[in-house]
This record gives sequence, structure tokens and C-alpha cells, in this order.
Amino acid sequence: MNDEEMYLIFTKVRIAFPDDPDLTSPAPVRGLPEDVAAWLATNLPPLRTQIPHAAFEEAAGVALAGLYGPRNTGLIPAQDLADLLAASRFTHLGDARAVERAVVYAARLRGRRGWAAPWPGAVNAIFRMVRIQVPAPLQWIYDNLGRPPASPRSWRLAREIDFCAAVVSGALISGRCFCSERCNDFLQSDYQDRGNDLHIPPLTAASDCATHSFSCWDQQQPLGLFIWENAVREHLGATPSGPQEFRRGMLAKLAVDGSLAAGETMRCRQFLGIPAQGSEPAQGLALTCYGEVEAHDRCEHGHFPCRIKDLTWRLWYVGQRGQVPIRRCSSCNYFYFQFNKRSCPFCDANAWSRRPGRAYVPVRRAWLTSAEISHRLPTDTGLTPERSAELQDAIEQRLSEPHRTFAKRFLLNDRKTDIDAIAEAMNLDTRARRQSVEEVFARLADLLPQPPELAQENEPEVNP
Amino acid sequence: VKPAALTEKHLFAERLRPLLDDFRFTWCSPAVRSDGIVTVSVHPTSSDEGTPELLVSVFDGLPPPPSVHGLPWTIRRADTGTIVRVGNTDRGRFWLAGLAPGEYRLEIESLIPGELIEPRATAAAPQTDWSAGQITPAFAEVQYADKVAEQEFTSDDPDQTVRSARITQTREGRLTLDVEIQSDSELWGKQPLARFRIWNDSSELLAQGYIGLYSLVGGRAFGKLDLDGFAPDLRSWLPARCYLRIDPQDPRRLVAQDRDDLEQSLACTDDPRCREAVAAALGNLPPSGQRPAFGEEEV
Repeated sequence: MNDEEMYLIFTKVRIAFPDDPDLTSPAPVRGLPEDVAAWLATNLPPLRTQIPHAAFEEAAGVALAGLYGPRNTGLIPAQDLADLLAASRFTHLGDARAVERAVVYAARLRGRRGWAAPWPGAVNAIFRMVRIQVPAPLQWIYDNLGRPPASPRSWRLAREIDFCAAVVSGALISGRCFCSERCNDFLQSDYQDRGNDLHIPPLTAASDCATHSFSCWDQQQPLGLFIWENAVREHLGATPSGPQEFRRGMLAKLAVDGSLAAGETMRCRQFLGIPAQGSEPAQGLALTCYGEVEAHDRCEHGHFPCRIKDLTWRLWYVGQRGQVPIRRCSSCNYFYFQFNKRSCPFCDANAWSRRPGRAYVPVRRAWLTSAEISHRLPTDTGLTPERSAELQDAIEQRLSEPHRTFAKRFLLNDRKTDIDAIAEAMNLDTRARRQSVEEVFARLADLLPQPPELAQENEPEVNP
Repeated sequence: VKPAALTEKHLFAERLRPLLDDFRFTWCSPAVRSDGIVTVSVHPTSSDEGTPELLVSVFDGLPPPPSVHGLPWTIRRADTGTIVRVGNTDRGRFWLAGLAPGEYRLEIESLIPGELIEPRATAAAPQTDWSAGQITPAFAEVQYADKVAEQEFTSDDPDQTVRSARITQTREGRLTLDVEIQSDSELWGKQPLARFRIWNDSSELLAQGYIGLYSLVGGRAFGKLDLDGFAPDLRSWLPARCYLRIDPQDPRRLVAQDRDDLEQSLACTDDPRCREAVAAALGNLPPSGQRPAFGEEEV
């Protein structure tokens, strides 16, 4: 509900009790704009009892019914009005919480017809309350991530906002939020998996999702704040931790046709002396590069080594990034991707942490699978000139045709070519394509990064 | 064994249909029906240019499940029943714009599969109850009940080609026939027309017509026809046993003798998407030819 509706509701009370000084403050009834007065006369139903027998709560309840209740069903019956007032618990003129309690109550009615059915105006009021919260994060996503890759031509931001508001409000009203189904896309852990280890209930996808209902509203907190905390949680772009909190909300799992994903990435901390130039979220970080580090340990601006002590959450569209194992150098305490058989690029020590962590890198040349299939599988680590020469020799010596051609195109040539395009250009069917991928993986395993499934690891060691 | 997705869809459809019974809304005003699980809502919004729009949403959980995607919907004038908009839902949503002020009725096809019935068997085997393909005699009397009455049939071939053939008696007492087909199945072969036939115990063909189909997501197709208008005598036949059969119809195999049936089918079809298929078949009718006799053709 908005200010105008609040004004109308309590104006009705003031109309009902024009002589009561407690109920006529703070704004006088006289002097109403003509159109508002006309609206009140035609839309708000009369009180069922005559003043002074009517109570102040009844005037407010009737006003609520007139604003949010069903049309063409007559006056609200006494029992329905009593139930509404019991749910709203009006205490004083201008009791905004009472109006919110009444609206939530009316939107969650379960009858089929008349006043026992959900009130259209109440459902629409909640829809509008949610809709107020949705545009800012969606606009930020649209500005920073662009259109979703698989969106149809008719995709429009304004309509996405309306749609998200409708679904989020529907989930809050009915309590049917299953956003934890997408916990893998947002690196949210499952309750049982972690609870057994930690012996305390952690904040997981399931525990977050369980609060996405008006039944969890304490009826004291402002309703708009409750909606914000469940649907959005954090301003995207305001702080580097924005995506980390946002991913736990309802909107992250729904927005942009459900194509968002989130994870931890490595962001370059090279000191530049100028404001951060990396891609989002860069606000609040000054004088460092903040470019995203790719799997060859160079950031998108070419800085090396990048000296990263902690990982940064960010959002992307499903399929745009893949997971790669990382380890922390125990000597300098920085994370790096290239820990296999190498010393630390910063301090030259060969003292890697025993347990690897994982970070995401942009999918440019996913190996084993194409980008469209999953963003959770490991991706290629990119090429330095030395590594390119090393790979080329190995391909020539270890592989036969057509796997040799496949490997050259896949690992050495056009870096934006993916498996699908290569297979199509080589007229490889699905089986031949899989054989080539497996052959490349088997023969060049020592030169390619280990996928996380094959790495000997226990718990990820990130964000110590 | 029914696939799990079908069962979930069945449950969803069971919930959706009562909510959409005589669902009316006024242009630019909110409306909502909910049973606590499935919610159908109409929200006033505005377009980028500021013109008023209505967002119609079918909610069955966040994120939207597949069951709310691709449902055919129809908007009719509440007073005249004239169709003003048609379309399919996109993840449970669609927008309406440019409607004249007034009251409208929302129809969304729930696309429910019915009981497992093999229509072909009904012609050969003696039937003892309505569940084997017989049209229920309950339709013999016109009912103006608050609740719609209906009966459904489904083929039990491996592809479940006829996902649903449903006879419905509306609140106004009219009988309608709608079919949902797995159009890309081998049996159906993506034919744009469904031929329905009604016959009695003596294998006398009482009525035969065509339902124009339009495509849905997942290789399915849907079509609807006013059965009362097509066969005004249907109710008088029902005290005797009558059976329903649905077959694919290749428009190229239609002959001039089918013109009357096609024209009558077209006259009893008001959905523009269904009319398009029937009208196309009518326009391509050959000048003359012979049609196989009833019972000779293959299903």
C-alpha cells in the first residue's frame, strides 16, 4: 500500500469521527482535495453501525475493505470484519503496521468466493510493494551483465520487473518458495551436508528459503523491510559483498528468466594509484586494478602476479563461468590457479596449501564440455607462450587424427571457439566428439588442469 | 506407467481448473483467485510508454515450474463471449494491452490428462461402463450448475498421443470438446487436424467433425470446438451408448465430400488459432474424391 491509500484509510476514520480530537489529528478532514473526497464517497462503503456506536477500528476496517476488498459483493459481513480487525489490531490513528497486517491477512485468505476469498486489492498492494524493490537490482544486472544470452527478442526489462514482482509476491503470500532448488547455481550449501560437520545450523539455502513467506513475518517489522530482506537482501553494486548477500534472496533465483548464477572469483589487487577499473562490483575499492583473474593467473588487464588474499563474489549468467581449483601459497598467503608443479609466481616458494579451494573463471574454452551444459565444470586455464609451445609438441607426439586436429583447434587456435563449433566444423557427430574430448583429456592429462572431481581434496580452503 | 512430470502436471491442472471457473476481471482492475497453492492473478501495470497493461500470472511456486509454461489462454468479453485475445503463457505470465474498458473472462486451458482409455478398442469390444470411452449419459440433460461438468479420455499408446480429449458442459449448459495431442508422436505425425467421431452401439456414425489444432511447447497441440453447435442432437443420443474417437487427419487426404463437415466444424470453432487450421484445410480441398469408409482407415 502507498501513502495515498494510508491517507484514504485514516481519512475514513476521521470522517467517521469528525469531533474526536484524538482521531482527527494530525490532518483535518476539511480541506480534502475534491477528487479525493469524491473517491471516498463512491468507493468506501458506509459503516454498518451508526456513529457513535461504531468503533474507531470498525471505521478503519471498513475503509480497508473498501480499498482492498472484492467489488460487487456488498458490504463486508460482520464476522469477516471482526476477523479482519482481530488480525490487524489497530491501536491508533495512523497505525501503519495494522494496515500492513490487515493487507497480509486479506491476501492470504483461502476461501473461494466473496469476502472469504483473497482480496484482489490486497494482493495487488503486496504486488506493488514488491515491485518497488525489484527495479534497482534488475536495472543493475541489466547494466552490468547485459541482456540474458538466451532471452527472446521480446525480452524487456520493464516486463521482467512486473513478472518478478508477481512471482515474488505470490511466493510470499502462499509460502511456496522453492528457491533452494537452485542452490548449486549460487553456491549455497545444503543444510544436512554442512550441519553434520559444524554441529550448528548454518545459514543455508533451505534455511533461507524457509523464511520466504509472510508466515515468518513478525508483524512488527515494516512490511517493506521484510520484503526487501527476503527478496533482495542487499544493494547490488554498492559494496563488493552485494552479490554475496543478493544470491541468498528470492530475486536472484528468479530474475532474468532464472538465468543468474553466482560464485567466488579472483580479482586483481595490483596497486594502480587510480580508481578500480575492473568489471562489477568495483565500488568501494580504490586504487587497485580489480580486474577478474583468469585461469592463467593474469587479470583481464594483463597484470601478473595478481596478489589475491580473498575471493570476491560476483554474478553472471549460467554458463559464462567455470570452476577451477586454486591453492594458497603458505609463504606469501596469495591465491593462484597455477599451482601444479610450479613455484609461487610471487614469492617463488613451493609451499602450497594442502587443501585446494575453487574459484570461477570466464568460460572461454571449456574442456570436457561446452559452456552451455554447465558452469560448474572446470574450464581451460588459458595459454602463455611457453605453455602453448609445450601443448603443441604434446599434441603432435601423443595424438592421432582426427583427435590431433580437434586438440589443435580446441587448445591452440581461436580462443573463442568452443567444442560445439569445432565439432560442427569437423563434421563430428556426438560420439566422435566425445571420443575426441576423452582422447585429449587422457593423452594430455598432465598438461591440463585437473578438474575438481579428480583433484585430491577435502574441504575447500577459501576465505580463511 | 505415467511419467512423473505428467502426474505433477495432473495435480496442477486439478487445482487450476476450479480457479478459472468463470474468472472475470475488469480492465485496469486487479483480480485474483487462489486455493493457497495455485494462484491466478491479474495486476494492472503500465508499459514503457506509460499505456495501461494487465499482467496475468499463473503462480505455482518460485521458480515457476514447467507446468505453468505454454498454457493456451483466451480472453473473452464477459457480456458477449466474443474472443478478444488469445495466446500461450510464457513461464506462467502474459500481458494484455489495448483492451476496451469493460468486463472480461479469462480462460486458461489446464491441459489435463484423463483416464487411460484406448479409443480404438472401444469400437471392437463391448463396453459395460462409461470409463471405456463411452460418453457419460449424464450429459443427456442440460445442466446449469455452478460447477462445470466434464469427462475426459486419454489414449494409452506409449506416446500417449491423445493426452486429453475432454467433453465439458459449461456453466451456460453448452457442451464443448477440446483435445490436447502429442502432435510430434509417430502416431499423430504433426497433423494439424483432429477428426472426432461419435457413434453408437450399432457402429452407426452419429457425428463426425474436425478440430483445428495449434502448436504448444513440447511438441503438443491443442484445439477446441463447440460440440453442442456441431451436433445439436447429441443429448438425445446419449441415453443409448455413444462413443468418442479421436484420430489424426491429414488435410491432403480430405476430399470434396468432407466439405460439409469442415464447414460445420469451422462454424462451431471460435478460437482464431483453431479456425486457421480448419480454414486452411477447407481452402485446399480437392474438387472430388472418395473417402475411406468408417472403420477401414488406420489409426
